[in-house]
Amino acid sequence: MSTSSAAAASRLAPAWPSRLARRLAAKREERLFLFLAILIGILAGLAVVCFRVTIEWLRIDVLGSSITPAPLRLLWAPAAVGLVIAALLFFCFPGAGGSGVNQTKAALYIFDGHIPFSTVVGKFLTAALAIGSGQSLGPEDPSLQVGAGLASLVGRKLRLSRARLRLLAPLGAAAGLAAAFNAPIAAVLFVIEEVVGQWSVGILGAVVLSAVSSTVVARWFLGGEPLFRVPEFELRNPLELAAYVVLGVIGGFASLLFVKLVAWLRPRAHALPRRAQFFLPAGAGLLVGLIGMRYPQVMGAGYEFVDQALHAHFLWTTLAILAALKLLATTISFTSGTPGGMFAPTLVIGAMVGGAVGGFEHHFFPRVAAASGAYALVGMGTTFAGILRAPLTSVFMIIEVSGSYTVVLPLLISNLIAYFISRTWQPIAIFDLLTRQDGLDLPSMEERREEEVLHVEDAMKPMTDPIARPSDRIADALAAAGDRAFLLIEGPDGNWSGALASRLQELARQGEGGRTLAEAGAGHPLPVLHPDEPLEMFLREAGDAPLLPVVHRADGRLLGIVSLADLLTTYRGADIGGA
Amino acid sequence: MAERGSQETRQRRSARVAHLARRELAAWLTLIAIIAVAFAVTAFFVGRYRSKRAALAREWYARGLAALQSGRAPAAEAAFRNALAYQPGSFDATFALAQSLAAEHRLAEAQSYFLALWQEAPQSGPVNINLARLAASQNRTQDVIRYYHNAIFGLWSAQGAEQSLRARHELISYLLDHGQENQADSELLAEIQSLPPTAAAHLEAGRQFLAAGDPTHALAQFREVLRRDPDNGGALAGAGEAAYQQGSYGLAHRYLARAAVRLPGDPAVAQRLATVAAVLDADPLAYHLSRAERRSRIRRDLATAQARLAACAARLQSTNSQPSPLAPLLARSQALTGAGLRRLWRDPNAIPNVLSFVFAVEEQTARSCGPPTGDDLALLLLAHARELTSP
Repeated sequence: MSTSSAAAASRLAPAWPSRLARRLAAKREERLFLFLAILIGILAGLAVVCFRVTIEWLRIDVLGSSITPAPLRLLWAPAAVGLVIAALLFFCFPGAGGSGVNQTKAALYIFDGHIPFSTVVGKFLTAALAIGSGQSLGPEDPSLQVGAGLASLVGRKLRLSRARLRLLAPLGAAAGLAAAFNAPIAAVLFVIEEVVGQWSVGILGAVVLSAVSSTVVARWFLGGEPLFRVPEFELRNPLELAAYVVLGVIGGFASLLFVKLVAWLRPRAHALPRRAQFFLPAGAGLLVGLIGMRYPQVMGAGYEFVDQALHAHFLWTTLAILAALKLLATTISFTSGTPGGMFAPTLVIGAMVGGAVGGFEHHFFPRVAAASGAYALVGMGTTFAGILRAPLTSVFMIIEVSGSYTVVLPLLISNLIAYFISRTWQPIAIFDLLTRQDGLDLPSMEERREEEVLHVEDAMKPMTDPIARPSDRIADALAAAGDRAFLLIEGPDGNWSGALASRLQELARQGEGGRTLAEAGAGHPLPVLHPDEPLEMFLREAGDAPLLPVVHRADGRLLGIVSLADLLTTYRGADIGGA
Repeated sequence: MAERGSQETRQRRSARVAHLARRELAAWLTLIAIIAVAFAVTAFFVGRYRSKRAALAREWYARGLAALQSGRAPAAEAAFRNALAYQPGSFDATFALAQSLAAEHRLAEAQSYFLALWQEAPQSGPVNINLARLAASQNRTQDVIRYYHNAIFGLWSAQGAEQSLRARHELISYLLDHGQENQADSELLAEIQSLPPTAAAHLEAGRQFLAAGDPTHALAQFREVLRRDPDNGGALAGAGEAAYQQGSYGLAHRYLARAAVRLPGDPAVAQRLATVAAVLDADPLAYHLSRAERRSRIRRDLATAQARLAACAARLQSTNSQPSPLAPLLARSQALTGAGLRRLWRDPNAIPNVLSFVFAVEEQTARSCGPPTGDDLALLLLAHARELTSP
């Protein structure tokens, strides 16, 4: 587990048979790591509970206890708090800006899982102030970073190895996100999809444990209700799926508009002189406050209004206005550099877009489209897939936060359309875009997912050389090999071995040319490959052998061979990941 | 020597391992202790926050109630929404919000909140009665009956019997307003089983029975009132009306005469009393009449009927070219004039025959020329009374 325990195990090792000692030490480390995952989950869950409560408390203190704040207060309060946030960011916590997802990725890939504790504190305070004062940002991404930061702190205090420290950040991230969303499955999927980028058995169990334990903590304190109360959903007839196609298209273009706006505005904001940048959060607060005077629904995370959209409490025209204004307000808040996340605004924009589209369809085609509540729910997933480009997470998150499984079919259709539209006109996903704008070189998880994986069959060549039998005499085998450097030998039970021609020649010179290959022990066993296996398996398996046989999975018959030269030729010829 | 060195090395190694193990254990214990402290701090923090939310919810709820009571429904709605924001799912706040929405005539929204509460507590009397009222405002009769019945048999936090009775009373009023007298009558029959022993309750029940077309039970209710309060003008008028509807004009006259004394300015009572007096005055079969008086009344009734027949026939002739339904009666009327009438008086069955003609005229002319007034009305009522009493 820790370096100290590993050291202790290795120091004890001489008293034990070394292999057993290593195995026991490894098992103990695994168990301790899982236990640590639970503790990190609890810690992250507690932090996120405090974070959410702080946001609410600040909202009451800054904007008043009414859900529709007094207009006069909206004029000055968000702007004034924006100045406080800027002061904190400029003078105390310079690393606390942004959403939190990319910072966690940077910690993972650049800083060996190291997230300074001051960043965690700074993110907690500044994001709570920002969201509490009504900036159109969400608490989920900061929760993710707070969780990752706490995990990193624990790892450092326990003096974990660099490799373990790198594994801890995703654990904390998943725990933070799970507690914020009350949705452990979506959190695990998001961290795998967007932060880690690959499914690894080694980390999956620990990530799940930490996410579940943080969710349990959050539910303990904040209750186990789903994030939204969802009305009953029923697909009236198959024609209604066409209505969801329309939602997918509109949601996709809305997502595209948001990403394009952020991509255009953010570098311009960052290019301003430092003194001007200081006033950006205050300016964003003022603008959002001005919007909030007429439409308070766009302020803060906005989940309470999602609930109203789900229950068709707004006219479709109002929802359309709210969607446009929320998109604008979020763009302003986010590009100003105010700390806070995009998850909640993305969902709120989606709910408003979905509700507006559903309301319009229900109004003009009442026989086709059901009430707008179901569309608001699907709309949330649609913009999540379109803006954040995590399609799998988007589906599971909607199912989890709503507790409704009946919505899956329209959700899949709408999400995929939005994802496709967003990808077509905005090839770089928003998190990668932000990374590049910040001058960092982090791996793009979307590009990783789409990397072409080469298989053995791509490099496989037909076997044209003679194949020897273990019963063949060495002299005969040499004669058959001719000027070839390596001879493939097929055993009686379908096992394969290989012999270097130079070794056979040496045996022949020693007068053993009359003996069979088996008697002389001339062949070395060779592992076999299958056509569907990744090509990199050759490098893992080949050892010193210049080539390996490729056999059929069913009957073991030889299909061809792969050599190192074939592998290199194939890799050089392939267009991998757009390289 | 070498063996001793190796032993020392081993001892040093063991000491080092023990030190590392102790340090690791301390680190784990510290982590667990930190989590325990963090848990306690979070619990305290969340507890304080919950208290604050609860206080805010109470404050906004009270503000909402005050606004609702003073008729400021939009302000009440905003206040209840705030209360719900701090206490999501609160039954009372949701109920009050739905009530304020209903007061703003935002019926669909109000209904959605009431239905959500109904899902939670389908046996709730207040929720059901509000759903019934909303259904009544949208004329959804089946829902009205269902929700009122739920309310009647539902749970009420206080004064259950009274609330139940009020729900049934509202249901009866709705049914009467929508022409469902039979169903209203059956609800009334159920209602009187649980009526409180007050004159007002029986008086109202009597009136509703009258409206439901059940004068028998109405009269019983009015008599119940009069047993408690013999001079109750409303009960006297109601009893008179019930007796009148039963065709008991003598009884009706007695009640109405007393009612007229108690309610001197009530035109309905005076008019009804006049009608009843006219009926009694026109009745040739009354027990106490002398032979001469009986004949006199029959003559008068016949003359009245003939005049009505002639007027009606003239009216029909001017407006309609179709064969008159009054033709047979006109022929009979012709036969009951002059010598024909004198011949008739010698017949022992003269009175029944004349009366039969008079009643036939009044009934037919009522059908052909509209409801009669004055003496004709009295004769028509006598005709109906005879139908009621004849075997």
